[in-house]
Amino acid sequence: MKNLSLAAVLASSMSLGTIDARAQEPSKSDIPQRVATFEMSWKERDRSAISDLARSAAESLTGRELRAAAPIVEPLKNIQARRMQVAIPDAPSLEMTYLPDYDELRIVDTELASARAPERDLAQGDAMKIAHSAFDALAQRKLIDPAQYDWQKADVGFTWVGGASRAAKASERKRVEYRITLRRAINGIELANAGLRIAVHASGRVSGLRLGGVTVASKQAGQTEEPTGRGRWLEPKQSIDALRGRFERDIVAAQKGKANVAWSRIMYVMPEKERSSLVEPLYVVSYSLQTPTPEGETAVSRRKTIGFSLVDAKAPPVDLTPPTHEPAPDRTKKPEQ
Amino acid sequence: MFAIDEKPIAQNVASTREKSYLAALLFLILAAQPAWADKTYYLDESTDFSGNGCENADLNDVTSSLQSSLNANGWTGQRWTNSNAWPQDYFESTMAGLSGVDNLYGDNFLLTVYAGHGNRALVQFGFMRNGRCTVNLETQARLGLQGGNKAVYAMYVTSCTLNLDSLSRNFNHEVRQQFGYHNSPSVKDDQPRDFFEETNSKTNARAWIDEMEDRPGWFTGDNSPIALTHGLDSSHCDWVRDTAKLRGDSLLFTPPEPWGWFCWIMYDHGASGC
Repeated sequence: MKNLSLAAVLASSMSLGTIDARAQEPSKSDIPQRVATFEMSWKERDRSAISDLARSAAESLTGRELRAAAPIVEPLKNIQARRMQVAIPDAPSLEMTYLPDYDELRIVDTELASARAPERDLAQGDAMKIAHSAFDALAQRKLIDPAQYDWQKADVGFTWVGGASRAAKASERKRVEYRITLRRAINGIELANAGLRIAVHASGRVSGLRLGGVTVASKQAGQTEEPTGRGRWLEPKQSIDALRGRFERDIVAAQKGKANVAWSRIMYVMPEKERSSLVEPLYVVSYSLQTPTPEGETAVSRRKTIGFSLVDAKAPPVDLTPPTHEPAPDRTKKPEQ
Repeated sequence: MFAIDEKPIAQNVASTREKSYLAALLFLILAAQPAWADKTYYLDESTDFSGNGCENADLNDVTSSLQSSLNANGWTGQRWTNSNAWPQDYFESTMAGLSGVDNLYGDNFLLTVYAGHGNRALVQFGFMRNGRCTVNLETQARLGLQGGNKAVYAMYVTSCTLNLDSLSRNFNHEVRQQFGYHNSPSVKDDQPRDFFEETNSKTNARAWIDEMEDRPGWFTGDNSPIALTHGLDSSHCDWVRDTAKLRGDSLLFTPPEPWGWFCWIMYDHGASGC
């Protein structure tokens, strides 16, 4: 690739990686003495609310007032997934999509997305500061409640580009974005299905945003988020060692492979097939299996995510990423060759 | 196969005489391209990995909705699952000792997709056939080459197949693009469909990384999707990456060969599992 700096080439010999708070196992102190169940639901905004959300989010990203013309909100046509496209005349470089099923807004600055050969790399600390400024701007416009997020738990990912001649085999690579994810937290416990991801381009500008997720029925009482409706308080009875033991015993031992844990933590996860549900925090493990094959290779499974009750040792593990429909079988037998 | 310089044809047309010459040349070249505007697909998927000789975790179905969308958009092709999805579908048919039938299946369609388990430059099927469960894509497959010779785009909904640290093991194909993961991904049933549908307006590369970064509705950053593009040289590679759109009918024909450059883009949330 052209325009890759020497530093980037040297960096190519270094391994990629995220700040790996994700892989850390929870400690005993990570299980609170009491936890709450909360009613959660996927809300769907009407066009007016989508328009307001999109404009405020765009203003937060660009730092400009975008009030001259109203955003245009239209469904994307001829697709099976439900998506709304939002266009702001004053910000034509922003590609904006609203996902009604997940109350989620996605914004990409297409001008920056196509700028894949920035002149400089951006230090991670600087990227975090820029993301924090965008976060503050979102909070000022009431799009998020900053008290619901913990920057100590932020995940940092990256967008990389690379390339080389066929003969070179190894890539030159360049970091073009930081992708900083914050999940909504409830009394210190993260929720998998709500949050924001801020993309910071190497040029130092915010280049993208994902914002939204499930709505939690709660009220604030001092420093505590209290459940409303059917939500209630529970007292966890499982130790983290017991929960780890259940994963080993109930999941790993039942398979022929070796488990490779990507991350595990106490977490709220909205059931995938539900539009509303009473959700309690679980000990959640996201893992893949490594299995030997008859050819002497090792096959790695796609990711599985499973949850265990903090309260009931006899409750079966919950498959948190289940199929949403039955596999569609073949109608005929394939011709033998 | 002809080697054509696609970008100069698109960019450097200056005069009517040159236009006429280039149009004639383009016609001759494209007439020799068997996959021109031929919107065909081949989907192999394994979901049952229990008791069939190729043990692993059972999976969700991620290609039936993709097939539905492909069909709705004028594509034609085949989808085979479990006992009808064979490693031999991707074995190069001209290689001795493999009994490969990629000339009939995996390399006989413009878009070829495998969904199941995997590893670096490897895919694992759920049912053993002729003693085989896996395809080593480096040594046993030649997509867009030799037998079949029609694959232009390859998608692997599998763990680690396009892991960055072993990317060059996926270089023995003559395709425009390959889509896969640097890690072990969590993939919801309709995500491959959503990727395809987004390629109406977005480039394949951008749609792949945007749609596959997370399960929809999750903010756990579980996936590291990567789009690998091949081109004649650096600028051609960039142009293909920024032009190709499956649903947008852009670059749905055989690439000029041999490719001399690769370029990739990836959202990196770690290499877990690989």
